[in-house]
Amino acid sequence: MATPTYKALATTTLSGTAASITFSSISSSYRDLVAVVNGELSTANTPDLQMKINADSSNYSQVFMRGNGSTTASGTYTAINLNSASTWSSGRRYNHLVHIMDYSATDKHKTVLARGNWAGGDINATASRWASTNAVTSISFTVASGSFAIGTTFSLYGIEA
Amino acid sequence: MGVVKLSTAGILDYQKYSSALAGNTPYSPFSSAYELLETEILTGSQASVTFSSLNSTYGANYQHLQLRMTLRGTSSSSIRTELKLNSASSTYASHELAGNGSSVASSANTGDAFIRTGRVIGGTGTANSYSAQVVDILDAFETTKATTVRTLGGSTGYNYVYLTSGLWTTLDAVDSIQISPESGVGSWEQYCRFSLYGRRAA
Repeated sequence: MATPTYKALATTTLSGTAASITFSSISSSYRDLVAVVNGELSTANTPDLQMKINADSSNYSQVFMRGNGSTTASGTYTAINLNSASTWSSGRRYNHLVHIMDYSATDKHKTVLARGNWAGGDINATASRWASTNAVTSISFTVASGSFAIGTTFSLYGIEA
Repeated sequence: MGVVKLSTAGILDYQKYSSALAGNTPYSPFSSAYELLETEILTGSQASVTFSSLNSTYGANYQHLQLRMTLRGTSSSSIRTELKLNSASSTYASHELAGNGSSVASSANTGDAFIRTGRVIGGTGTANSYSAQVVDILDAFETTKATTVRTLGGSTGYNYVYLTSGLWTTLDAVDSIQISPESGVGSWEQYCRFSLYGRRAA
């Protein structure tokens, strides 16, 4: 029998600027998580918009590809960088749709697929890995410098399997 | 009417429930246009995975299908993922835009015996590492257009991230989906997961 899923678990809309936001105590009732981040930065900077899992500061790897309208690039990071553009401008919007696959499974590392757009900047896709077999119980979105602007939204969904 | 005391003293066989639901399924107001149809998580290696009888089971209610998969082959450092519809062994085409950690490249294949949904990590890759793919099969049950497929996938166990598109140049409704590792290069590894979802038609 078909099971309705893709359930909204949490949504945060910033009423003030913030350097990070965290979804914590994530239930293990689902198989995948999907996060949607849509917003602006409060100031122009080089943000490295990152996602961290279970507050871990290491054990990440990533491969990315991007195009900015004139050139393409691919590279790697030891972090989950949702946007790898070199410089963002304030007032420009970005959005990211992030799949955290098998987040509740404890038999494999966690693979994170993401598609991102920085309006006026670039378009990118990333594949990342958190080298841990622990279940994901919290997710944080951070910017290395500056902050998320007022009105930025963060949504989290759970998908059963 | 006066107060009447209720007692279990005269009931020979009864069960006490702490919940007012008393074993009934709770009503949930949650509904969704996106539904889990079937899932398979491998308990051992397996040559391929097939979802079948799709049109007869789901064709009346769903417009699009989505596969969400975590994949790892048993052999080699990386393997191709091969997707077949209705067991057809021809009339497929695929395009790919991919980054390998140093450059971005595009490729195309026509006249294939399968749709290429992207390369995934193989058995000699980093332990416990699985690739992932999210595959949309659009208008899966329509018979007025060829079926198109798109994928976002990749992994860092085998450094690769990609967007792919696939075409099955046949007007038949999709009745089965087979997901196989590259022909002649091992099987799917234990713990691989294959989940099929439907997006409802209005």
